[in-house]
This record gives sequence, structure tokens and C-alpha cells, in this order.
Amino acid sequence: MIEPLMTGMLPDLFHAASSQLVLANSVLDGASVVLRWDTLIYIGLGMLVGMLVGAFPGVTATMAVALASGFTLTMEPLQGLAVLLTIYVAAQFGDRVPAILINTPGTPSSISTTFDGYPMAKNGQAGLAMTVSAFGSAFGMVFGTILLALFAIPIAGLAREFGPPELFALVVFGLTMMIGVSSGRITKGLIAGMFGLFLATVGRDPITGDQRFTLGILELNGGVPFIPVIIGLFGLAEVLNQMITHRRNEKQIKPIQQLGRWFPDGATFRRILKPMGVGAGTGSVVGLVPAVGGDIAGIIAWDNAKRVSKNKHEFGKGSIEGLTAGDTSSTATIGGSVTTTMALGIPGDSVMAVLIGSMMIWGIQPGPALFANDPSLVYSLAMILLIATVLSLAVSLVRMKSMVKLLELKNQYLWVIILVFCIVGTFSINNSVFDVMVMLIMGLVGLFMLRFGFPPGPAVLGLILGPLAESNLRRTLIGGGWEAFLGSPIALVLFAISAAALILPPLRAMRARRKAAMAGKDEGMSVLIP
Amino acid sequence: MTDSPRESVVRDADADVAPSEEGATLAELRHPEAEPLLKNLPYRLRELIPVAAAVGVGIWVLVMTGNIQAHNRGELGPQFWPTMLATAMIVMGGLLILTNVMRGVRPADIPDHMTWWGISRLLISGAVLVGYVLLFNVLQFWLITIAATALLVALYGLRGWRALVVFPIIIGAVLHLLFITFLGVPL
Repeated sequence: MIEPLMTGMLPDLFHAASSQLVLANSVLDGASVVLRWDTLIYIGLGMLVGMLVGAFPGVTATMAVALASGFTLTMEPLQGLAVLLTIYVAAQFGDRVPAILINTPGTPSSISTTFDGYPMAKNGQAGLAMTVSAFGSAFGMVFGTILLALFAIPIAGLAREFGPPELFALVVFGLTMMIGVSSGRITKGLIAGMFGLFLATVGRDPITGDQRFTLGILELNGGVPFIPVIIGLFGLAEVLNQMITHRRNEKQIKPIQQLGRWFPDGATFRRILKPMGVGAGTGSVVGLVPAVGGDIAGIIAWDNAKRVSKNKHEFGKGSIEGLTAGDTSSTATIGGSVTTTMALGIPGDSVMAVLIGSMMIWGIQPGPALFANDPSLVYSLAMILLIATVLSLAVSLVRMKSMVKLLELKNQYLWVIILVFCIVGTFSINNSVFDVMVMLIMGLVGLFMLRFGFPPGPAVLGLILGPLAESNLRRTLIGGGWEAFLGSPIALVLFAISAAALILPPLRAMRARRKAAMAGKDEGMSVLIP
Repeated sequence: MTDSPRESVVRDADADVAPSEEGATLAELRHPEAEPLLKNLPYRLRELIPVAAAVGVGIWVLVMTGNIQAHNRGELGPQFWPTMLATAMIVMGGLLILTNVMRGVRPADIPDHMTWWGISRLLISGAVLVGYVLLFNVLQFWLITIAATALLVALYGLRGWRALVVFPIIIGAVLHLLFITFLGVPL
């Protein structure tokens, strides 16, 4: 009787118990390194910066994380990650304030907030809109973080089986997804992506080590430094664009001053449960798709919530359900974004592209091996996200009249702060004037891209993923020629999805234009086509 | 993903939010893809600049690829990937002619107008910033930061002792504390 136990059940039980112990150990390890006073201070710093960044329209979370990456590079990797991730999370709370009070999203993630948040504010419910939005955002964040903790390691485990054909297909997939959602600018997105891939070829060849495109400049032997490129494209370019278009007598929009009721009552809480669920579900799925951010997730969830709501007529006129669904969804994407970024090495959105740049400088290579080698990192990241969420929610629930005053601050002050931070932050990476010059040049390149409709996201993604794409493509071709891709079902599926990401948006655009034209006709209006 | 929130927002803060139509959701009607293409000739001719940029970079890369000093000049050597990228950029430039120059431009792709005052501000800001960088390690960091900040604030039209004195001192002090005291950057 004892023998079967010894040979069958007992080893299985022992194996299961030891796996549970390893998991518990990883969770404890991951959480304990975050729960140190110095890391908590950095999380608090990131929260303050993120809330402010979100509150100022024109300063995006990507720009803030790019600027912050300049000075976090001198920190310990986990502390730096704590600052950058917390800025990202807190910006998702702060950006709701201008969306609700002046109908202008603080960052793209709060586009859907304007649909119902501003109408609510006009109806005297600004305070209620802000607190409900904060609860929805916090719920979305927690939901996304739980998914990160549950699925990041299994996804990384699957991706560890990938060879060169699959890895090349994965890079193509990531790039095309980012291009596919570049507001319909497919061709320009492709050109921007190729420009980024070209920048990545500067320096030494990843296989033979030969020098390419260095133009005799010693500093370029190691390649184009990507943090200065990121700061130039995302930080400097946006300020320069605002500077050249700003008029002397331009009036600042006045925020709505009357906040009205602040805390939601029990009936309101019951009413927002369903849209919270819709938002969390939508955002989690959308967040797993590389390069699709909170802006798109918010709009999709708003639409989904409307479809299942009994009060469809309220949507767009100040629906608390529409507001909750959009805001829950846009933050729920963060868990998925972090998962794809860390587990696959493919940035979930442009903030994550910047984050990858910083991690590579710290010597951490996001990708399938990362979580396999250090599973406790998943739980450290989850813990950072949870603490950042709780802090951001707490700050959002404090009734602050000063937030309204903040929106009246002139843009010119922000320009000066961003310009000086761009310069000093870039210099501090390597104490190099060359890096600052690269940043200034890339700022001008970014300005050109902004003025002529090239999205900068694919360029940064191309720069970061370029060496991975080139080396895996060449290894595949040297090993088995183009036929090697035909022998890989995973690569074929990824290529098929990539092709769909490039073909479907133009078709959707045609359909949307036709619908818009039909809607115009129905109202007896003529659609003006100059 | 939208990189600039300005592209996708409703610009007029007082504009009422339109209720959605049956069959065409509000999100679709607001989406830039739903807007009709602009077919004015100046807008379409303006698109020749990005075409020229894409084709120009592509040709330059092709020329420079020929100059790579490589040990292995085989088919899959160091020239393979840049050549592939450059060719694709030239093809995409051609595709832009078909889509944007011949068909029309999306309204979201037309940027806000530049002003001469804005361009002057950009050029002077560039000069101030380059001067600021070159003075690192020459003068005290806090001193040049306060001076550069005050110059930029004045350039952008802000006046008064708070803007020209207090604000630069705060920026100088914060940067000094953050970068020199806490992060130990040798500035």
C-alpha cells in the first residue's frame, strides 16, 4: 500500500508543493524589494510627477517618461522602474481632470473621458465625474495588474520556444500593430518605422561587427544613443511644435469652477459596477495587443458599454456609465501592456517603448528570458503598479480646488521646464554633449515628423527592435532561406495578423467616412468636401 | 495610438457633444478616419515634402550602403538589411504620391499654422539652449540655469518679478538639488 504512494502520488504531491513554495517565494521576494522605504519614496515622487503631467494638456505620459528616463538611469533598476511606472499610472489619473473640466484630454488615454465627463461637468457634476473616474481607473488598474501577475510568466514560457523566424515575425507584428493604430497614417507610419529601423543599423553590424553609417564619428560606433532620440522625438519636438504655433494673444481655456457633489452614493456605485466590468474586460484584451494603448481601449469600451446599457440615450450627454467604462478600460490596458513588453520584449505602447530603452541601458533585456530567469520581477512590477494605484486614487479623492487653479497655468512655463529638463536629463545619461546634440537634432526631426503627419512611435520602436529584427531575419535566411518562415505556423499567424493590421484600417476608414457622410445626409446637412 | 492629444480632441471647449446616430457610433463619427479627405491642391502639393524626405533618405542610404567596408560582401552581409529598408522607403514614398498627393489629405494631417514670431522664438530658443550646454562645466550650473531660464521666460512673453526672478530661481534650485546633490551628475 505504501509502495504505490511512494512511486505515484507522493512525488506528484511533493512536486506540486515545491512549485507552490517556489511561487510563494517569488511573490514574497518580488514584493519585499518594493516595500523598502527608499523605493516607496521614489514611487511617491513618480506619483506627484505623473499627476502633474496628466493634468497639463500637451504633456503626454510618453513625454514625461522619456524626460524622466534621463535622470532615472543613474538609479538602481528597480527604483528607476518604480519612478517610470508610477509616472505612467498616475498620469492616467491626472489626465482625467482637464478632460472633465476643460474638455481637453490631459493625455490621449482620456479621450473617451471627454465624451461624458465634460457634459457631466457642464451639468454641475464635475466633482462626481472626477471621483467616479478615479474609482473606475483604479479598478481597471487593479484588474490589469492581477492579469499581469497571473499570465506574464506563462506567456514568457511560451515565447521561450521561439526561434529566429518566430522572433522576426514577432518584431514585424509589434511594428505593424503600432503602425496600424497610428490614426490611419499607415504609409507614413511604415516610413517612420523604417526610419527607426535604419537608425538602428548605425554602428556595428550585429552579426559581422562591421561598421556602418558612422560617418567617421567615434561616438556612433556603439550605435545611435536611444534615450536622447526618445527625448528628442517625444519631448523636445512637441514643445517646439507648440512654440511655433502659439499666438501672442492666445487665450487659455477657462476651466469649469463649480465642482458640485463630490462622493458617489450607494446607488451610483451600484450603477457603475456593470460599466466597470465592461471596461476592465475590454481594456485587458486590448492591452494584450502590442502597441494599442489606452486611448483606443477607452473608445472601444465606451462603445461596448453603450451597447449593453439600458440608458443608451444618455451616452455622449453626461452618462456616468460611459465615463466609467472608458476610464476603467484605458487603465486596464496597462497590465496587458506591461505583460507583452516584459514577456515578449514587444512594447505594449509608446510609453513601454521608452521604458524598454531605459531597461536596456540598465542591462535588463525585456523578453522571454527575463521572467524565466527572475520570476520575482513580475511580482515586483505588480506591487509597484498596485502601490501607485492606491496612492493615485487617494490623491484623486481629495477635493482639491488647487487642481482647477493648476489648469490656468500658462503653457510658457511648461515649455521652459521641459526644455531645460530635456537638456540636463540627456546630458546626465553619459555626461556627454554629443548626446545633447543628438537630442536636439532628433527634436528637429521630430518636429518635421509632427508637421508632416509621421507618427514618432514607430520610429522609436524601430530603433529599439531594429537589431533584433535584423539579426533574426539574417539568421533565418542563412539557416533555411525564405522557406524557413513557411515551416513555422507561429510566424505565419503573426505575419497574417500583421497584414490584417495594415489592410483593415484603410477599409475601416472608408466605411467610417461612408457612415459619416450618410449621417450628414440624414440630418439634411451636406458633407463639405473641398 | 495618438501621440499628440491635440489631434484627437474636440478643440472648442464649449462645443456640445453630439449624440450618436443609429448605425454610426459617436466614436466613429469623432474618429479622424471618418472625416472626408481634403482635396485642395496646396494641401496635396504639401505632401510632396514627406515624399521627397522618404525617397531622399532611401536614396542616401542606398548610396551609403555601397560604401560599407565589410569583410563579407555576400548576399546576406551587412549591406543586406539597409538595402532592403532603403528600397522599401523609396517604394513607400511612391505610395504616398498615390494616396496623399493624388487622392487627398486627412484633416488631422494638416497641422496648426506656424507664425513668424513662433519661428523666431524657435531659433532664439535653439541659440540659448546650445549656449547653455556649452557653458556646462564652465560656469556654476545653478547660475547658467537661472540665466537661461530667465532668458527663455522673457522670450516667451512672460513678464513680472515672479516670472523673471522667482521662477528661474526655483528651477535652478530644483535642478541643482536633483541632478547634482541627489544624482551626483558632474555638472
